[in-house]
Amino acid sequence: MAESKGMKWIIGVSGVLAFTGFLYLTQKANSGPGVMAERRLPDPRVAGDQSGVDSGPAYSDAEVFLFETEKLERIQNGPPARKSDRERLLESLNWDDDPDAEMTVPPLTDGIGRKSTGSNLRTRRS
Amino acid sequence: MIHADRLPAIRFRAMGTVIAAAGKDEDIQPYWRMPLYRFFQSTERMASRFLPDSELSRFNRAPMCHPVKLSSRLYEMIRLAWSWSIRTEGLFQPLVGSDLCRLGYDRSFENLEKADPRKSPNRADCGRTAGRDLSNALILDDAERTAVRNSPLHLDLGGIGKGWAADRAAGMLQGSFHVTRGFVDAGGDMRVWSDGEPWLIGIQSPFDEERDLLRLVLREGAVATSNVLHRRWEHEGQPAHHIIDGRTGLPAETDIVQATVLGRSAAEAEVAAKVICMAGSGHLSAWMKKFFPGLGYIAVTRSGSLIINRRVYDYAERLVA
Repeated sequence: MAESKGMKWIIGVSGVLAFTGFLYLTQKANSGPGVMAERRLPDPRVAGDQSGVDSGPAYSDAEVFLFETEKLERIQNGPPARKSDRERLLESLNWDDDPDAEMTVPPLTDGIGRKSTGSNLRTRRS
Repeated sequence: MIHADRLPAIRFRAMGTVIAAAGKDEDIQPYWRMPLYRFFQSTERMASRFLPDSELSRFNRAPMCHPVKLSSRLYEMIRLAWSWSIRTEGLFQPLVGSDLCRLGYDRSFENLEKADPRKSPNRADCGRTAGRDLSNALILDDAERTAVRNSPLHLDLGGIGKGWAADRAAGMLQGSFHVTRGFVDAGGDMRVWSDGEPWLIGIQSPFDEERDLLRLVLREGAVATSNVLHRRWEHEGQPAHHIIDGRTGLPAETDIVQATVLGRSAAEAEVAAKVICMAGSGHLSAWMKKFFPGLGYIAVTRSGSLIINRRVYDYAERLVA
């Protein structure tokens, strides 16, 4: 009987201690300087959002990754001779006096256009 | 250490399409990704006409002629859509939710593709039909943030909502997270900005999605594309698509199959791209000067010809063809 009573006391006291400890820890985490910033920004460890590291799916159905931008030097610094006739035709539009000037360019002879590299940014059909 | 040409990015589905964004900021952690994801998800929950519990669906079901108090975000989106309806003399019309529903577009497009094309939608859920004079169909009160629907027609904010969200998200990334080079692409409605190297943006061919018709070199701006060949389905034996002419309530049928518009705002560019698909090559120049002065456009005709205006060069540094 006395043994059972002692056991109940131990369980009761441990419960109170555990609850007090939990309250202490949660209060500590939510106080002090920089709280607003911590709340505003997600915890990257929880989110799996590590800059520069492809950490896989982070927000349930989202895919985080590194976007590879295309090198522009090649086309930006290329000599004018490298421009296609089609491009030079389009550029002539830019020299028109009328700011609303319009040009109709016939379809490409092969009718298909430039093959996308798949890595650059592209318009999509909405 | 991030390589200069590799930017943290995110891609996910929301608002019935794929949302993608990338950005370079000063922080080691790209903190912007989760807020961006949450913003688009919450915008879909608010403004989708396919979710019965969305705020927009509740507004569409609310009794006519009674003011409905709206959240600030939905009010802003409806106000923007309605202002473009007035400015384009009803060509762009947000009250086409009922028309789209009657044409069978009564669920998100990925579900529509799986649906039986012979089965008609439940027309009672689409709202009643109405005449096409919709000039007083919506009454908005900025002070009270209320909207009154004086027409049985339902609102659809699918297109302009993506443009609005891309604009807001780009502002958030630049203003709150100091992303100095980045893009937000909401299913074809795109905002780009850069403090350094410009972006290279391919204009996808409407006839072959693996091909680019040409490429834009663009440092800052908005690019939106609308296309009548993509979101197409069959309804009661007839082909249908999602670009509805606001004057008729029917899918626009002209010689233009795709329009890409360049401007400062993705929402404005999105509206202009839709209107170009309604204009056809005959009205294109006149309508753009009248309704969207200052925007650049690249329209693709059924034959594959490109119609381009000089304003494109106000935004793009170069067109690589």
